[in-house]
Amino acid sequence: MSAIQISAVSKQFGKQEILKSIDLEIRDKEFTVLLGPSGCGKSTLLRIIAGLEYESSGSIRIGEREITSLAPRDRRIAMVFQNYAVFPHMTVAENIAFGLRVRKDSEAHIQRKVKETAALMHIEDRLDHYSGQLSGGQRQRVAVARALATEPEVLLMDEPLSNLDALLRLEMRAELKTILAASDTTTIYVTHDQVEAMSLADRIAVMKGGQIEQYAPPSEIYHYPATEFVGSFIGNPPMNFIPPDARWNHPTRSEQSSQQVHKCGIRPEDFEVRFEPTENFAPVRVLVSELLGSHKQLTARFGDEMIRVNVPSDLEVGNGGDIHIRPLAEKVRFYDHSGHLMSA
Amino acid sequence: MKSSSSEAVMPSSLSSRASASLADSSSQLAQTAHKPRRNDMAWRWLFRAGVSILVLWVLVPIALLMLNSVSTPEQITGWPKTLTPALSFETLDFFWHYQGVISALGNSLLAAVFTMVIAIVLGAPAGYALARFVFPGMNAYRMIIILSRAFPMPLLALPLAVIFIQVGIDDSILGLAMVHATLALPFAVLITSSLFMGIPVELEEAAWLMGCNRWQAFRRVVLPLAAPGITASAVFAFVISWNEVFASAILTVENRTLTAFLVQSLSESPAEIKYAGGLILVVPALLFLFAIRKYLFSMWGISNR
Ligand SMILES: Nc1ncnc2c1ncn2[C@@H]1O[C@H](COP(=O)(O)OP(=O)(O)OP(=O)(O)O)[C@@H](O)[C@H]1O
Ligand SMILES: [Mg+2]
Repeated sequence: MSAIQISAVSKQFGKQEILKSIDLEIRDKEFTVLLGPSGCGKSTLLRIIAGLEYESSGSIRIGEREITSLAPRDRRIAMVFQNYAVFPHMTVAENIAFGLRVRKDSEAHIQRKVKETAALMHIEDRLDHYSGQLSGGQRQRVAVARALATEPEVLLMDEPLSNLDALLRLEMRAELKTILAASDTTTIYVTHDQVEAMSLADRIAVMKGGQIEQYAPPSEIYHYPATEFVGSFIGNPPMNFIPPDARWNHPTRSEQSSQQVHKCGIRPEDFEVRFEPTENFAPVRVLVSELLGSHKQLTARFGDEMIRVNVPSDLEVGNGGDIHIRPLAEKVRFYDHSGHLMSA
Repeated sequence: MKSSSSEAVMPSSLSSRASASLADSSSQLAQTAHKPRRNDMAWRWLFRAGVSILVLWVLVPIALLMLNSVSTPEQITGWPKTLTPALSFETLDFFWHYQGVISALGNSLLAAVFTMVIAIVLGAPAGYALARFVFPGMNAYRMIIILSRAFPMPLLALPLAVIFIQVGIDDSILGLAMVHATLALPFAVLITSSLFMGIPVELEEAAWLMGCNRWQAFRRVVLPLAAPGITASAVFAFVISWNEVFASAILTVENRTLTAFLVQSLSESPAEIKYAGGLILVVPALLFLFAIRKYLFSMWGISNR
């Protein structure tokens, strides 16, 4: 229920620089996902926000409050851990009530709140159970219920679904999305699953090596990756990055700026395909053709590069065949030598 | 007397360890069973023989002790021994009424309780620190804790007796308990640290975020989970003090503990006293150790069973 402002937060472990001056502004009620490869510092950033880890420099504000030097207990933040961290010596009801009891809410309020959040997370029939008697999915529900019961200003989640099996993860994902949208809590959610990120986030912060590469809504991340890294990290298969090809004759680039274009980024689904040589099309040799249900994925050789092209599933292309391709003009993104998106 | 009672701790944990590794190696053997080799068989028998000897080494004296203490005085000195004694409580009865026994027993209890308290009050925080924090010299600290067990009691007890006299706590149960605590502390630290390591730090962190300060989180979350193990390590401290002979004999004169009392009266007291006293000393120690064996294994890095 508050905006979060992270300014120039950096973190060193010994000589190792894990976070390099992170700036991030999260709007009130926004759902932000921190996405990035393993070891890029997502958990570290989350734990710094929670106060479980000290930043080496920088500051954090929640709403109007400067929280940088506050202890975790004073930050009004709730967190859901990857291993759930449900207290094993307390029943589900006691777990959910824990935060409320610590801050000495009235017992009537506690009882009502426990019922309410348990119902929200569909664990109302498990209130007397201990965590040892629950399945992983149920434990996860208890952890979320416990976090929501305290009505935190900010909810942090570190890979909360990664210990669940695929089906359950899908179900919990959809449920979390509706519940959190209704709860008006500002949420920061860590994951390295891009599908999860895409489906949940209002905005995704893509991280790499302790830096934020891009912070934008999912569709912008997908269609306008700010860096080559983002383009190749998001999307399955990733974006193709190939040198500009004169045959395609991109109308949007002026002569002067095309000098600086180092790579073109094109999503696999953004190609036109012809079987015969056609003007403005470039020939490629198909190496592998895989039918993936809704579409067919071709792996092809384009000059010295390998590219991926998605075509309709009924298109008859065999391995070793030659086809001619051209990207849809408005879907081509241009990247300079440092790998950054050039503004159109 | 000394070797069988004061060291009763070690052989019993040793033999349990041996049986634990017996299970390990037999499962390894099971894995390689598809190509049996004569060598394996020989090793297996050698291993079993070794284990049997160790087990008998511990059990036979205890069995004799038990048999003798429920025998009549005539049977104790008589020969041959019978495995089914007359079950007379004459010996035990005599023991209870022997002069000084009751007060010695009381002193032993008191010293053991003090030792227990000191060991836990000082040891559990140290164990917590070792489990939760990374600090410079951490490994050296851990090493020193273990090494302190190698320090011979005689070297410690004699100078301490002098200092105790200077300070004025000579011949006091509290002073003795402090010495016993130096013996018990390393174990208290190691047991509690492995205990705290087994409690995920996220539980504490979750409690902090829900409004607890460090102490509240410890009391509401860590302590309830660690309580059985802390109890076990307290019991172990109790047993260490209960069994200790040397320091007790040197540092107490009037206020003898039971071990010191038995050693002192070794030459003059009748044999029944020794057997009955031995039994009184060994049985609680054995029962306690059996009850907490799971935590002792975890200290040695053997998984709980
Ligand atoms: N307490 C610590 N001491 C030293 N280095 C640490 C510590 N905690 C984390 N690191 C290092 O910081 C880096 C980032 O760790 P972090 O846990 O933030 O990664 P992550 O992005 O969450 O990765 P994952 O997706 O695998 O969880 C890693 O290289 C890790 O080794
Ligand atoms: Mg992580």
